[in-house]
Amino acid sequence: MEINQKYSIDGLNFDFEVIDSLEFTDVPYLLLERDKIGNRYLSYLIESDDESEFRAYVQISESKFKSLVSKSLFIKDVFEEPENNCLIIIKFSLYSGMSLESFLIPSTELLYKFSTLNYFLDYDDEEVISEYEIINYSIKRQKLVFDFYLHSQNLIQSIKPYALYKVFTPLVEIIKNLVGFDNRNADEILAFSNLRHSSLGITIELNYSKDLFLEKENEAMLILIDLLNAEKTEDFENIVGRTKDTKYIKHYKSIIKAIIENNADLNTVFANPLTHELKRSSLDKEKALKAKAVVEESFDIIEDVEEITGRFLEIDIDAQEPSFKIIPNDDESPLKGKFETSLLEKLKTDLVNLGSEEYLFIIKTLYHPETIVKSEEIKRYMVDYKKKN
Amino acid sequence: MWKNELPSGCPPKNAIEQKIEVYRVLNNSEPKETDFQNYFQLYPENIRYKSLCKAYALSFYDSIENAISAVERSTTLQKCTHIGKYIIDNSHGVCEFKESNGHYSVWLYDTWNYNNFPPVTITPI
Repeated sequence: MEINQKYSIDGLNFDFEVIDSLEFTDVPYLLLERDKIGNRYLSYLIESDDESEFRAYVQISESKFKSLVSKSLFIKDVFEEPENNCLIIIKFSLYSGMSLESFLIPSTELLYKFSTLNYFLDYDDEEVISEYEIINYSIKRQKLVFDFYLHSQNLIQSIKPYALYKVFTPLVEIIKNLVGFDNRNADEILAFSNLRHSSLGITIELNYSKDLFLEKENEAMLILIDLLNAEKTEDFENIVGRTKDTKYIKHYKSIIKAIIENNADLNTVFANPLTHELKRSSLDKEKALKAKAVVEESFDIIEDVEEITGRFLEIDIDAQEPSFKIIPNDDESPLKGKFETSLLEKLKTDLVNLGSEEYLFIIKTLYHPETIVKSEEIKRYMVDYKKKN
Repeated sequence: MWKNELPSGCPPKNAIEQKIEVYRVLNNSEPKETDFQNYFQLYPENIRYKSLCKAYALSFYDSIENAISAVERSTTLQKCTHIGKYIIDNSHGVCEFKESNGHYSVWLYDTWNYNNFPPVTITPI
C-alpha cells in the first residue's frame, strides 16, 4: 500500500493496545483498541500480506461507540466521518506486532473507501469496562469503586436469582463486615451503579469515612480483592491475619459454592480515586474448588468425659438451650456449657443449691481443632450431676 | 486440553461443544494442514494478539452463502477459491456462534487431528 510520505508520523508512538476483537474471522479485521492515554479507537485491517498488515485507526468517543453498538450507525460511518477529522494508518510487522510505519491522514483526503464495512456492528459492549473508565469514574465520584462482573452461560439470557442472592449479596455482606458497618447506615455509605444485565455487572461505590483519606475502607477492599484471588492455605492465613474476625467466611463460602455449581466466573476491579491504584480479582470454578478445600478443611472432633467436683454458679433452664456455669474446686475459672436434654426433668425436680453445696459433675467436652479460617472451639455438655455428701 | 495454551478466560463461556455442519474458506481444492492454523499459530511472536482469545480460534460458517459473503467483504480472503464442508462434533472442541454473519469461532482440543478431519465436500467459489 502506497501512502504519500507527507502524512508520515513515524516519530509518534501511540502504543496501541488491543482490548477486544469486534470481528475476528481467522484474521483480526475489526478491533477495539486503546492508546497509552486511554483514548478508544476502532482499527480495521485494510491490507495484509504474509509479513505485514496495514490497519486504519479511527478515534471514537464513548457516545459514538454506544451509537455504533446500538446499531444506529454503520461501521463505515465511523471510519468515513472521523470525529477528529483524521485517520491514522499503521503498518505492523505480523511477526513481532511492532509498528513499522505510521501516517496521519486528514479525513478530507481519505484514500481508502470503507464500503465493505456497510453493516452494523454485532457486539455486546456491556462486559467491557476498561481500567481507565473505572479509575476515571472513581476520581469523578471521589469514592472507592468496586466493579463486580459475574459471567456464566446460564446468565446470558437473564439474571438468575443465585447471581444476586448467593454471589452479589454475600459480597456486599463481606464489604460491610470488613469495613465495619451495618444496614442502618448502608444507604449513606454504599451506592450501586452501572448495572449490566448481560451476565451480571454492578459497580459498587463506597465512602465510609467521609474524609479525604479513605484508609479504612481502602484496606478492607484490598482484603476483599485478596480474598477473591485466594486459593492456597497461605493466602487465607494472610487474609485471616489482617481481619478482626472471620464472620465474612460464611458469605465467602456462599460465593464459591455458587461459582462451582454454576461454572461461573467472577471478575472484579477495585479503584482508589486518591492513589489511582487499581486491583483486580478473578475467581473461576477451578480456583473456587481449590479455595473450598482450604476453607472447608476440618479435623476430627476430640471428645472427652471427665468428673469435676465443684459448685453451681448459674443455671438457666428457661433458655432455648438450657445452660450452666460451674466453679470447680481445684480451679479459679468457671466453666460454662449446656445441659444434655435428658437432664432437664431431673433439674426441674431437684432443688439444686447454687454456690454453697458441692456436686460431682459429669462433663462431656467436645474440642473442635483450629482451622485456617476458624479458631478452636470448645463445647461442654453436662451429662449428669450428683450431690456430694 | 487445548491445541494451544489459551489466555485467561478463553474460550468464552458461551462456546460449547456441538455437532454441526460447517463451511470453511480454503485456498485451493486440496486443503492442507496449514489451512487449519489459527492466527496465533501463524504469528506466535506477535505481541498484539497474544492475549486475544479469538486469535486461538478457527473460523467456520453455518452456510455456503455466509462463507461466500465473508470472502466478498474480506480484505484478505480474495485469493480463496474453494469452500469445504466439514462436520464438527463434540470431540473436536468448542464453538461460539455469531448469528449476524453465521460465523463460528472454534477452539480445538489438542486431540483434534487434521488427518481425521476430512471434508465432506469441496465446492469452488
